[in-house]
Amino acid sequence: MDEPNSAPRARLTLDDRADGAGLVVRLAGELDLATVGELAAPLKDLLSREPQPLVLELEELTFADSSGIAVLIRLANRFERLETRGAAPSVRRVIEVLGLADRVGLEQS
Amino acid sequence: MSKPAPRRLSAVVAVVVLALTVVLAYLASVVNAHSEERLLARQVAQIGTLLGNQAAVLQVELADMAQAAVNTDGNPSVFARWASGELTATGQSLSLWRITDGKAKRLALQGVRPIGPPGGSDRLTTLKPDGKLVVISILPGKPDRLAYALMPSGGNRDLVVYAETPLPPNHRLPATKNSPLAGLDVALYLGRTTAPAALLESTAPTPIRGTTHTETVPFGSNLITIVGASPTHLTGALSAALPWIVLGVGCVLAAAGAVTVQYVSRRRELAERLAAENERLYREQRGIAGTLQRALLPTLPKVPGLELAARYVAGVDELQVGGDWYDVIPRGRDCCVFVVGDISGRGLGAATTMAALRFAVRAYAAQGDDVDVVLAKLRGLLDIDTDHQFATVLLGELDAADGRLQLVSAGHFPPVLVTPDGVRTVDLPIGPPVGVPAQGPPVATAVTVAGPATLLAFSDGLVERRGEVIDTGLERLQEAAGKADSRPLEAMLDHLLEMLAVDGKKDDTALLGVRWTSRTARPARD
Repeated sequence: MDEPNSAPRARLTLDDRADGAGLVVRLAGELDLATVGELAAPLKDLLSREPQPLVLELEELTFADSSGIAVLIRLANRFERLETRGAAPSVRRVIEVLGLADRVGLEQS
Repeated sequence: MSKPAPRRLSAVVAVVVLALTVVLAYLASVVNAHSEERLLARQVAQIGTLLGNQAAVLQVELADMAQAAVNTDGNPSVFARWASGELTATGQSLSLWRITDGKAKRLALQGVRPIGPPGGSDRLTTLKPDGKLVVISILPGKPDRLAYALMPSGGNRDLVVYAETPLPPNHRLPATKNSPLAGLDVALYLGRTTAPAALLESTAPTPIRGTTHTETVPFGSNLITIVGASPTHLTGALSAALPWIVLGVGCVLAAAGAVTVQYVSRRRELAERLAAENERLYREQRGIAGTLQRALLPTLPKVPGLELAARYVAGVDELQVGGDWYDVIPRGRDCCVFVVGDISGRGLGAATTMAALRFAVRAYAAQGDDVDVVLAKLRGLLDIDTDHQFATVLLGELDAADGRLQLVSAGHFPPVLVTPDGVRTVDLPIGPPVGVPAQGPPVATAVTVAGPATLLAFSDGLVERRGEVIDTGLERLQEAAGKADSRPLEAMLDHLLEMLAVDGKKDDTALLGVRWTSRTARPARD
C-alpha cells in the first residue's frame, strides 16, 4: 500500500569487461518480489544481448528471494558461461539450497 | 470523529477569539478614556491658573486706583486720570464712591454709566477695607456685565472703587487661535454652580456636552466653576480609534480562525474517511487473496494408519495470492504421496502455475508414477525463460508399514524428521528447481524410518528471515520441532508456526506434517 517512494532498493549496472571478453553485471540492494520490477528495463536490455561470458558481481546484494534468484537463473540460461562472485552468506545459501550453485557458476567459498 | 464536531470546534475558536477581542478592545478603550480624562483635567487646571492670574491683575488695577484716590482724599480728577489709563475695553465702567453714614455716594465716573449692583449702591457699604477684589455678580443688561469692587486697606475707610465690565454677546467668546481655550469647549460660571444664570462666558453652547471635567477655582472673593470638554480626541485619532480597530481586526480574525478550523477539520475528516475506505478495500483484497489461496489448497484426505495435518499462512500485508502449496495423495493403507512446493513470485501467474503443478502431481501420482518420475514430468511443464517463474518442489512417498520413504527435491528444502532418537534434516541431494534446465534425470533417495516418527515438509517462509543465513532458520525449526513432538500433530504445527512467526513477515508459509507409529512387523496386505 504505502511502498516507500525513496531511492530504488535494487540496482543493476552493466559494464563491458576491460579485456573485451564479456560482460560484468553488478546487482545491488535487495532483490525480491517487490523490487524485481525496478530492474525490468535494464534486465530486458541485458537479456537482448548476444550470448557471451558473463560475470555477476553480488558484493552489494544484501538479500534475494525466489524472485531475485529467478533473475540469476534467466541470466544463466541466456549467457554462455556465468560466474557469480562475491555473494553474501545469506544469498549464497539460498542459491545452494535451491540446488543452483552449479547452474549460476557460484564461486567456491 | 463525529460529524458536527468541526462546526463545534470552529464555533469555539470564534467565540474564544471574539472574547479576547472584546477584552482587548475594552482595555484599549479604558486606557484611551483614562488618558483623555487626564489630559482634559490638566487643560482645565491650566485655565483655572489663568483665571487666578487674571483675578490678581484686576485686584492690582483696582487697588492702584483706590490708593491714588485715598492719597488725594477722593479727588475726582486724579481718579479720572488713573481710570482712563485702566479702561481697556469699550463698555467698561469705573467709578469711585464714598461711604458716609451707611450710604454710598459716587464721587467720580469713567467709562459708561454703571448699572449698579443688585440692591442698589448700598451694596457697596458692606465691603470691608481689606484691599481685596470682591466679585459681586452678573448684571443683566445690553450686554450683561460683571460687577466687582474693592475697598482699599489702610487708613481711609470710606472710599470704594466699583467696576463693571461687559460680558461678550450671548456670553460667547469668539474662538481665537493660540488662546489657552482653543480646541476646548469651556464654560465659566460664577460661583459654585453651573446654573445658566451664573454663566460668565463659554466657547460652545451650554451646557457643555460630551465627557466633561469640572473644576472650581477662587476668583477674588468669589469662585469660578470651569466646565471643560474636548470636542476632538486629545490623545489623537489613532488612540481613540484603537478599540474599534482592535474590535474590527479581532472579528475578522475570529471569522478567519473559524473558517480555517472548519476547513482543516473537513479536510481531516475527508482524509480519515478516505483512509478508512482504503483500509476496508485493502482488507477486502487481502481477504480475497487468502480465500483464493485456501480454495486452491486441498483438504487433506484420510489415510488409514497415518496422521496428517497442514497449515497455510498468508504473508502479512500481501494483497496477492502466493505460490506455496501442499498436497497428499493417498495410496491405500499406510501409504501416500505428499508434495510441498513453492512457485517463485506471487499473483495470478504464480497461482495458476501452482494450480497446474498441483493437479499434474495428483494426476501422475494417481496413475502410480514414482516420485522421481513425477518430478521428471513436472520439469516439462515450466520454463523460466518463457514463464519467468520457477518452482521448488519436494516430493515424497511414504509406506509407513515398513517405514520406507522415497524423497526427491527440486530446489526445495529437505524435510525435517522427528523421531525418539532426535531431530534431523534428511540428507538429500537437491536438484535445480522445476523450470530450470537440469543435468540428467532426478534420482530419488530412499530412507527407512521406523515409527513413531513425524515428518515436517515446509516452504521457505517458515525458516527464512531477512538478513539471516537460512541455516539459522533451519536450526530454529529443528529445535522447536524437537520440543513440540510430544503434542498432537495439529497442535504441534500450530506451535511451530507460533514459535517461528516473524512480525510483518512478507512470505507465505506452507507446512505439512505426516506422523506414523511404530510397526514391528509388516501386517498382511491385500
